[in-house]
Amino acid sequence: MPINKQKNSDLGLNVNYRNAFDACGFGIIILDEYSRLLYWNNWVSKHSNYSLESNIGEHLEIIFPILDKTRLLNSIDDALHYHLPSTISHKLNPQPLPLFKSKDCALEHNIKVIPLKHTDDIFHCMIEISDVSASVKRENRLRNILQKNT
Amino acid sequence: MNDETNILNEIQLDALGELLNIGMGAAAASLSTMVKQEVLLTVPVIRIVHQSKVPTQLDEAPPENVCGVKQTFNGDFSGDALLLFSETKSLSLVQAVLGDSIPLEELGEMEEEAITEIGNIILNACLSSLANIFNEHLDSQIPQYLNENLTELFSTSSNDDSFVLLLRMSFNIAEQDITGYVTFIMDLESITKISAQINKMLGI
Repeated sequence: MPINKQKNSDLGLNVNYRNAFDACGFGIIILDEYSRLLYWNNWVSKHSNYSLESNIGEHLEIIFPILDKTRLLNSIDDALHYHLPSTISHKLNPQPLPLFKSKDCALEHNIKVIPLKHTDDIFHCMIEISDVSASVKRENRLRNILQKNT
Repeated sequence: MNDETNILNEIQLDALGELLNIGMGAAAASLSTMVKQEVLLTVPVIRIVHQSKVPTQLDEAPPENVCGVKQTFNGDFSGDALLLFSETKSLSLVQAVLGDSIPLEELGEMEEEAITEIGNIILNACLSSLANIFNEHLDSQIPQYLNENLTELFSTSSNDDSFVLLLRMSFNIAEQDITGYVTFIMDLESITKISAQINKMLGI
């Protein structure tokens, strides 16, 4: 059955876990072995302005064309095919995903891509997104103060 | 303690070095795209040493502290993969990559994350090369930033029989040559499995 025809309850995500993920203060995206969207939590819907329901079963680069040929896609490939995790830092990859704090304010974020064992041979992957906007602002302020004092 | 010179011979080390160099090509391409300048990565030296001897093998005057990234891996063979730089070299790397001139004492959370990502790209390239060569999957944990005393990092208990596959790596970036080290800490059983896999690959 094509994945976009599946009901949420068929995606293997227990309702209690889904509620817990939806309550998280960071982003979670889960992709299947073909890098198609299985689930993302409320945090991702809120900061991307895209609903989960209308994007289930799509490849991430179709949902976010900005991702074409990026480190994030390579990292997803590493997780699904080599079972290797990746860390993607804001400092080296500004705005890997088009996420926003408000209409005109981009959300600075770091990403971890983590392989998830689904069956013996099949791996899914989890993308964990953390908001680092406050840390970026703090570091920039501290650096400006230091520069002024030297 | 086993004699490290018997574990992998020169032909096996050369073959392994060649294969890891292919992985480095992929890592260099990925880093070059990311930092929008040419990055060259080579592995000019590869050897195997007992874990306790690593500090003296890194350099004639080994640094007291090292910065780097660690990924623990499991699979048909298992251990810890580390990318290490002296504190000064790690700073040069961050400066070359980010174009910032940051004094070491100001190396913040963001720069640590940048080093972690660079290490992650290189260690994943090594681990996926090994996995490809041996047709095995290696599962790895999330990369961890480390800044530790070199001797303590490689200290062992007296009956420990862990060995280290030590790769000296040369980064060429923004007209700078920066030397770092990739180390794979593995027990004798894992190294023996690698030895057998290389022999199988070479048809020995």
